[in-house]
Amino acid sequence: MANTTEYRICPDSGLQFHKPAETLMKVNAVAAVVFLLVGGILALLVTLTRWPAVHLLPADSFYQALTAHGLDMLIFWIIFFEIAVLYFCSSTLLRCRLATPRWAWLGFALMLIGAVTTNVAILRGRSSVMMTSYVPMPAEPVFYLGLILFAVGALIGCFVFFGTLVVAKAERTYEGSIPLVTFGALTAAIIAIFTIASGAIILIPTFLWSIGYISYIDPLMYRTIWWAFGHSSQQINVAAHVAVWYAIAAIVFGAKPM
Amino acid sequence: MSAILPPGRAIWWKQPLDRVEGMWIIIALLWCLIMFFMMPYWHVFGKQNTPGEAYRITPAAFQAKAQEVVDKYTVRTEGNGQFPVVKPPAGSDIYLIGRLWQWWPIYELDKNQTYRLHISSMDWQHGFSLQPDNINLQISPGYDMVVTVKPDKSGTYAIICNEYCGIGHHTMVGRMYIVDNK
Repeated sequence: MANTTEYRICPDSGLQFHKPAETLMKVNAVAAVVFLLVGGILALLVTLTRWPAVHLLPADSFYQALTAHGLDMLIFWIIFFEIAVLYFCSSTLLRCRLATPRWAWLGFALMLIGAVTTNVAILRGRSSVMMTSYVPMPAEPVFYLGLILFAVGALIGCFVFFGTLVVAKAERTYEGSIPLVTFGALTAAIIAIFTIASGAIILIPTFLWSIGYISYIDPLMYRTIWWAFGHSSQQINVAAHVAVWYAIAAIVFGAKPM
Repeated sequence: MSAILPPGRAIWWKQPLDRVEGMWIIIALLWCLIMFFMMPYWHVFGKQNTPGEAYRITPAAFQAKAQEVVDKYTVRTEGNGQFPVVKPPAGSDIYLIGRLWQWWPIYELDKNQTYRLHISSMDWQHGFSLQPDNINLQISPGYDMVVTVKPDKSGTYAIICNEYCGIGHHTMVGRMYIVDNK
């Protein structure tokens, strides 16, 4: 059993936080809202361009802003926040230590490096390919590389969550079944594994294609597998946000669903 | 029991279903089924869906076929000679090229006649979108998408690209004429 000085009780909610886990939740959640902010500012630029009376940006910057907006809002903000949710739903709700905080930090670092890399690639101006980045329209190799690094980091985060469930079970920090909110987070994490695997299956060959190792990627195959990633990434969100609704209702209002 | 605490009993789900919860489950299930069956229904009976006939082809081979039709049946040109207006015989195979950033050539088709319209891309993905009738088809390089068309309204139609294809995407606008045959 881990040292008890590693825990603190939140005076407002009464929840017990594992301190290393709490720090990780904070950094992931903060990174999430920073990307939400960036994506939101880009949304404003997109809207002000689509508004005919203003028509703010020329075509090239518009497509650039739209590409970054899509990825920041639909991938980076959401998945950073979901990693924070996963850590909360495992270590805090099950009152146990987070499995392998160092791996969790590595995952966070990869996600951050990946997200920044892809944003910088878009900012450089030769990767305005939209979130879908349909081949054979090319982006710079670092655009795909950033997405791959981000996905690997998110995958590590999911496995830290699974590991924490195992820790809680082994160390008997709860009895019977996992709470409903943790169950929702587990659902999201399982879908996330499928999502990230689909993303890897299509983006790794695309990265190799962009640096010249693979000569051809079939556009229809790309589109099909990309959407295995695209659609299921939204299904992670559905599972996670239903879990978060229940969490908020229980924590803020003391609601009892059953 | 709270959603953030482990359930009081290990087997927590064996309890009578509340009427309201049951109603919601039924409503949600019915709605899911309606949505599910609307997909095949709309595919078969909706008027916007194309049958999805497609073949593999190289851009060069497709361009050669298009060029042949253009060379044979061009009746005039538009846009400083850049766009041939092609009037092929009814029932023939016609070839529309999507490339950065134009639809080429312009076809003039007879109302109530049938044509085999082949569409392919020379470079990146494009989206064939016939306006204002809103008939849409994703066009990829390496694939010959075939639609059997029988225009039933005469007029001038716009073909716009509705899949993002780079910096000139919004300028990729083509045209199609449907004329009354007398």
